[in-house]
Amino acid sequence: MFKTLLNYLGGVPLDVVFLARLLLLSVILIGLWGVLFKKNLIMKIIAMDIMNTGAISLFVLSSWYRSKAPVIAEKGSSIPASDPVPQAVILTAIVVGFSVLALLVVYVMDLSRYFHTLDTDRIQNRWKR
Amino acid sequence: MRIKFDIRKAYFAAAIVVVALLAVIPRTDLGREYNAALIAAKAGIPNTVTAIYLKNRLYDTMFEVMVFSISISGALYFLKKENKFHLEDTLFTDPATIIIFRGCAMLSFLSACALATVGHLSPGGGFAAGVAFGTSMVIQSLISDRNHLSNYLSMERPERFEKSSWMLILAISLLTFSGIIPSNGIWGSLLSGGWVPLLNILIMIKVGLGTWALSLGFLDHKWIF
Amino acid sequence: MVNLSVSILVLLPFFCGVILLAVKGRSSRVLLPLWVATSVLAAIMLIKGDSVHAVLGGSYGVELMFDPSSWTFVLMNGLVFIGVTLSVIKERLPLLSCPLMAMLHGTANAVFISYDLFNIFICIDLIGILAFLFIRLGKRPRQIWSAVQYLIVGNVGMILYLVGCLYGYKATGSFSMETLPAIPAIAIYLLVIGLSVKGGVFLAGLWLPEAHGEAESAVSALLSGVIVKCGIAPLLRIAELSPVAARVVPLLALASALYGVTYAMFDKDVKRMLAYHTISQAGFILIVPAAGHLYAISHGLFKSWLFLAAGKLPSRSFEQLKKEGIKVQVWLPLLIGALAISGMPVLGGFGAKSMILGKLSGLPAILMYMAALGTAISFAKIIFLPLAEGGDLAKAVSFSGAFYFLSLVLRDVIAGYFGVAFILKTLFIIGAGWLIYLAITSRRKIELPKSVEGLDHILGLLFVVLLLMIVVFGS
Repeated sequence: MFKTLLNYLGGVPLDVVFLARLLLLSVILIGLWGVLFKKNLIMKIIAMDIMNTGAISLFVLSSWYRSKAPVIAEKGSSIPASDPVPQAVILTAIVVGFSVLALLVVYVMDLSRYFHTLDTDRIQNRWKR
Repeated sequence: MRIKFDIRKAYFAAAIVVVALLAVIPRTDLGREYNAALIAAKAGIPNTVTAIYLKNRLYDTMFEVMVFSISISGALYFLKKENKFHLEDTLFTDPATIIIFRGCAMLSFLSACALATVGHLSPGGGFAAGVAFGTSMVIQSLISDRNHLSNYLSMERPERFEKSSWMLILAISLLTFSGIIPSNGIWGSLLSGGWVPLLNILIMIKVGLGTWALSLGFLDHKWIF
Repeated sequence: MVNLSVSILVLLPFFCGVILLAVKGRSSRVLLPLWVATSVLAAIMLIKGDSVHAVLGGSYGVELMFDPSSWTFVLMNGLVFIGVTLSVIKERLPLLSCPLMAMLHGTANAVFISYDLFNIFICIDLIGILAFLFIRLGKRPRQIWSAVQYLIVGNVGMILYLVGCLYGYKATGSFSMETLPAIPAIAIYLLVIGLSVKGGVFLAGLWLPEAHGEAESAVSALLSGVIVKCGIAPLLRIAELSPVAARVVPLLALASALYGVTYAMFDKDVKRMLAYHTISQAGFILIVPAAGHLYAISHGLFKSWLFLAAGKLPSRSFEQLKKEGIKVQVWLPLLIGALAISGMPVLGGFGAKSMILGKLSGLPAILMYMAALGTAISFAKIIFLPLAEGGDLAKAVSFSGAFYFLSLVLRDVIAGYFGVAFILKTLFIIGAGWLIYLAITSRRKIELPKSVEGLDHILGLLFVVLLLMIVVFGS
């Protein structure tokens, strides 16, 4: 009965893909929770990386199609492969996310050297006086 | 303090509503046909993902290489200014660990080469190979005999390699946009697919050397220890 | 033609950047020919006036669009870089500046010619990293925090943009902007929010006062002049192509214009006031998407000049400047820049403002006229500062000053004649602004709440605005 209720609500087929999408969107929410509610800068950065991972995995999920082969075995083969465009595009996004993370970690180290704290509230309150 | 907390909970509640709406969007792509076979045939290599990001969307990959390289340069700009922290007394010295680490580093390096050279025939490719290469170098930097390699390789060469491989990637992108691409070759062979194998190797060098330099910068920085 | 353009606009600056990084070059003189090449190419293409829609790489490739609006943005890019380089040409810059400038130029060009949603994502992320490094290169510790806050907020915005791209791809099967009308509304809202973070629009752009106000003046000039446009230019395209966005973007623009101007009128710090003005002018650019690029070129020119001139002021606080006064050679460029942004005829701002205000009617027009009035009031603060002794008029002339002045005059001359009614309206608004300043504002001190600019609040407000868009405009 619960299933039919959900089905009726959005016209959404309640299959594995929907549940996976729900899971990945909750990963994004968990990351967002970390970014908003944690005061430590390193925790914020790790949470932002979790958000990034969730968004990226959504792309990979959307490339799933009947069979799961990313590579085509023989020329002219008729085995349907998964959609390559989101996968290719997400390789790029992964590298970009990693680069931003690396830069942020290094310069947060730099920041802590000057301010001797990693707490965003304390850093921002320095200039509110 | 209490008031601040309530506002952030309101922000988070708004985010939950937005994400819930995202989850119930009806799927409209169930009936679409993917012509991955066409992409593979046109590019001449079986790995359709590599065909897309190293041929059709090479413009995006070029920017990605720029992002990676610039962020490594930016991170190293800060890390190199710090006093070098000498790690000798914290590295591993017992022979068993040294042998195991060297073995792992060797395996990682071999898998990096495999991923780069046959990256267009099976899942793999330049970026995975670069990460594996960087990992192998970092593993062998953790043992106390880390300058063992500098007897065989001078340490200035990596920097010049990095910049030249960067410029070669830009040059090959220019050639691809102008249409000057080598022929596709025999399907499934090692040199098929135009510039793709060369690009895979160049990207492996770029990403590998970059991760190695960055990790070494972190290891040598006194903040870690 | 497409290959030549892409090579000169994008690949050539990248090559120069890599070479400069390899040889550790510090002289910015070498880069001037590069900017001149870009500007000349853009000017030639604007005179030709045709549009080319190209795909780089066959099917599933990246789409580029070379139409008059992209060439206008590219021309602005070239001119602003020339101006900023001329002003720092004698200084000894930090090691990474010159390569970063070259790569920034190339990437900004790439954003302006791009017609592909995912390509814009990557280019804007690259711009975020370059801007971050630029802000960090300053010598003060506070700039590290400004840079880190900028990168965190920018990255979260781009994650939202990425999710929007995904839902767009799932609905239409392609990343090209041609498919924008068919994309579901919620994806469009995500794209718009992601771009507003980078473009400094309304609440999403609240990182602007901190980042632009604290950076070095040349860096602020580049940030406000070019980098903010990299977020706004795709927004203009999206607003033109998608009917959903065409309803949302003007409302955001209106809110942005009024918000920025209100905070600018009562701010006590010169550079922060200029940064609030960037938020407000972003609203001016976005309110009429079809003509936004014409306003953007004027704004890039006078905003970067204002930041460069404000960098030469002896102090940042208005209180101190009122007591000590400023020398004539510092006051004159600020005067011309302030008049330009208030919309004085012949100085670049007039043609742009009249074009925008001429296309509006009804309530939006009244609100935008109020925003223009607020601009005049807040810049009266600068214009009416007392002059100090010992100024030398001859020192006011400099290469970059002359260049900017000529560009602004040329831009207004090209814009054409708008009729006496507009000139009178503009002069009336400027005069009224000055009177209001002298009579009322200079005596009152109102402190506006700035707690909304904390890191958590900016991030949380992104989602609140997103929810409001969904609720108000439907899903």
